[in-house]
Amino acid sequence: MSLAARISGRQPLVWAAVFAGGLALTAWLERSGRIGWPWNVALIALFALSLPLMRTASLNRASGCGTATLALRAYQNRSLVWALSYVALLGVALTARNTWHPAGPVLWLLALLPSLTIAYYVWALGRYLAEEDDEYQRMRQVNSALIATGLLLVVASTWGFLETFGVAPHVEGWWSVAVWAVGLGLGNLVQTLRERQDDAA
Amino acid sequence: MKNRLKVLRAERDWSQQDLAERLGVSRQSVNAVETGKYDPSLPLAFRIADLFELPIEAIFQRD
Repeated sequence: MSLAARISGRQPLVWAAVFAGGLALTAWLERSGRIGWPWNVALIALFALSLPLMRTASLNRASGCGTATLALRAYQNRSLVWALSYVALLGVALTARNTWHPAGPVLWLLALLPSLTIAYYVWALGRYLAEEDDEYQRMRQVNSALIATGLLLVVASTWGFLETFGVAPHVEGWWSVAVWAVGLGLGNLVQTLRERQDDAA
Repeated sequence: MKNRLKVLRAERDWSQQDLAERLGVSRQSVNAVETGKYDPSLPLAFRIADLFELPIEAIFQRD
């Protein structure tokens, strides 16, 4: 089997796990003082290479299940643009801060740079729901988003109370993106497993 | 809601994919409707009825 076929045959979750694991590893290496800028940005950029592979694997699986609608393809493309631009803008913001040590409005702008891409992703999700003609696929995506939102609500509020009572360290708010993304993946997984269970019954 | 999609499909020798393409939805959606996991909206139910040239109540029945 060729390398391309082996790569595209992988489950999208594998590539998502590679990316998430890469981010976690980078964060751990940075916190433990083993690496600093610019190696942290370089590592994140390296793990971001798994994102196009995740998109290809996801579309391949959707084609196999007969679910690769035009709207889904557009959504996957926009999600890829989001993920890569998130990594790129985060890298630019960190690099600019560490190189020029700006203050005032420029620092504000740099801090806001990565969050622009989150707004873009929310727009992309909205466009998908508006463009998707397949009502069952639309319902599936809405269910996944609800599961992700529910997970985020529970995790964020629980952690917030732990922080308030002084038994947990402070965690930056942008981790909510990672928790929500995990919830979206879990939502898709739960629904797929339920469908397979029903098919087997 | 019960439905006769599987029987109607078999009468025409259509696969789920054939029906999905005729309806402009995914095969997974046809499977979900056919197995009763998902009740279609009225517009989709009308599209299915038009395709099989049957009234909706001849395809979908209450449990």
